Amino acid sequence: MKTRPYLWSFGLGLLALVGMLIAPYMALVYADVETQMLLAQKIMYFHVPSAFAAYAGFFLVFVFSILYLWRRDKRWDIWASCSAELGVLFCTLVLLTGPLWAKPIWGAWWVWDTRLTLTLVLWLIYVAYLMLRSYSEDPQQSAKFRAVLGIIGFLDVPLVHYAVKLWRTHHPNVVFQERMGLPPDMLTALLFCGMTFLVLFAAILIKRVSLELARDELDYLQAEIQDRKTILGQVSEE
Amino acid sequence: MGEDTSAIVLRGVAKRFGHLTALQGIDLDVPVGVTLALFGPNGAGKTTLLRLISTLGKPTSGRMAILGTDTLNAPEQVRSQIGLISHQTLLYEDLTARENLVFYGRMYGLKDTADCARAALDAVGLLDRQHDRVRTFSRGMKQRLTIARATLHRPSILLLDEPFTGLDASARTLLSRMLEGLRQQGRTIVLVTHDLQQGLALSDRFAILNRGRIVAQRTSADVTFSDLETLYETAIQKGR
Amino acid sequence: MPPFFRHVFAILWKDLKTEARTKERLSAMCFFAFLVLLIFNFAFRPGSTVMQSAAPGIFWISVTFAGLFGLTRSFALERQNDCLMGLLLTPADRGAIYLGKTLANLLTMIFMETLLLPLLAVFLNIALWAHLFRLLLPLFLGTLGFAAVGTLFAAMSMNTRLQEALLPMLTLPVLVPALLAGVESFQAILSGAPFSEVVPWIKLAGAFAVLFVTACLLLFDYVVEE
Repeated sequence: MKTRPYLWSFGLGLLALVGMLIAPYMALVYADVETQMLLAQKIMYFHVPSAFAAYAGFFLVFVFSILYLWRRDKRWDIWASCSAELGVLFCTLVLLTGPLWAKPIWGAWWVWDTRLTLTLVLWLIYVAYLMLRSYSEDPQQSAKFRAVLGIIGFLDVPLVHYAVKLWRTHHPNVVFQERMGLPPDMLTALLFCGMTFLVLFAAILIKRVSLELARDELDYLQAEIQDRKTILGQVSEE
Repeated sequence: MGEDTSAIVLRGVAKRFGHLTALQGIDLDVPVGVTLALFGPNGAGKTTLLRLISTLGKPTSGRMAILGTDTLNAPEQVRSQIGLISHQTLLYEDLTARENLVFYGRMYGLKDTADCARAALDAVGLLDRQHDRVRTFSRGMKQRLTIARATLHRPSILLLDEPFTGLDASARTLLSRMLEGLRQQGRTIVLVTHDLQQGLALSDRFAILNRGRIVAQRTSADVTFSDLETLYETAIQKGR
Repeated sequence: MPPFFRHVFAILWKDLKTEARTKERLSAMCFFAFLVLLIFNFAFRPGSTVMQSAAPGIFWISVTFAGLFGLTRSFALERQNDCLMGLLLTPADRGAIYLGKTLANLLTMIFMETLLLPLLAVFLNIALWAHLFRLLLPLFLGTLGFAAVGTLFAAMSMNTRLQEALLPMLTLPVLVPALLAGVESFQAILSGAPFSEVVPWIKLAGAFAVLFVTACLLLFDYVVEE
């Protein structure tokens, strides 16, 4: 077993574990209770860091996709796919915690706020990325297609952001109000949770990629064994 | 690569699709004006090899030069010198014969597309049907039009992937005659065929492919048909 | 004319000629768009003001459905007889193939839209004529963005197991900015809003079109090569 990625993921995993143990303390105890939204606001400490992790994931998909198309090394495709998987996972968390936050505060499950809408569109783009993986027939071609989608999807992000923001300013929702600046203790808690989630993301990513690389190597070795068997079979025949 | 008289040169070419190796260790030298026949069972890699030569795909490893140009760097340059005839006709059914040829003429950058189209149609005996849609053509006529399409831009290299399959007798004769004519014009031809007899008769050299490797290469004139049959059988047996 | 553009126009001419002759894609698209328009009509109470304010959305949804259909047909044409291979064998730049196909799709969609707009005016009872001139630019830019992204993804989805079924899943999320721009600019124009309100949407549609025509042009190579 290759030791370096193992050490990285172990180290990061440990760090993430420590972070995740401290995070609830930071979120619930350290940070003050917000005056208007009260306890429900505490979801922010998991909602926003999940969003950090999701966007980090999608940015990585973009970078790895470019690297794959440039270098054609299968490993970049594996990194890209795993980043997309994790990105979708954290994106789903954002979309689940969003309504949980919105309902007690604004009385509706979904309020079409700018960031949540952007996250929804991103979720759709990257789920399509995962579907491309499932429904392709030729693995090499599939990798190229996904890389192209990974690039196009990310290029779209600023445009979607601008479009949704513009849309919201044209159709202001009386119920909803923009998030205001944060007092220092909440900011600290938020940043701490954000860092923890990013470390967690990295740890899981490395583990996932190692698994995928190992699986790929296994496939290769099995194909080799099959090849050698047939050759040996012929020799014994003669 | 130094082989100035060679139309097609492959050195250590391999093609892998994921874990599947379609071709390996391919060393091939086809001088200008030579007709090479490629024999081999299904799945041997003949079509893959042809696609590589036509620059439709890039080799996973190894080097390839067509007419002296390294294909990795400038495949577009050689494409205008290559014509391919495969199982599929590559024709647009709803355009007329003439329109198909004019389109391809434009894509190959021919200066006088109308005249070239006319000449090509005449050569395959389809001039009287030039304004008819390809959809109305018989299989033999479509095959003739395919030949016209592949030779329209007067390529110096012609690649044929089992062109005789499914042809009626008159189209077969026409194709054999055309190939003879092209040979005499000094074109380089690579012919993939299951028909050992026809392949041997039409070629200057042949190679037998099995499981992605070239297992035999000979000059056609040195070999009789029965020799070829034996050679083919042994080559296949060895690989199994 | 540089060879790149000669190839673009050759492919454009081929696609349009085929379409003019068979009319199968165009007629199906127009009919499809009209059907969607009708179905949306049934979703609303006849003559209600809600329907009128929903008109831009209904229009762009009809265009989207019909457009997706047209896109898949565009590459089905090349799948037949392996014609795509024929195109790849030529010395033409792959970007030229992309651009030719995109322009053909664009023109086909615009043709369909010119037939759809009067139907929209009739069924939803909107005074379209007065605003027609101002609608043209957002219409063109929105359709161009649609064709740019859609052509690339259509080439991709044809090679998957799901084929055309995958196309909407790939294309629609990415098209959100262009569709929003189309709907909102139509909305603003039809409600008589000052031009300053329409401008940001037009700029968005334009940015989208330019960015994606360029990006897809460069990436098309990777989608079609072996």
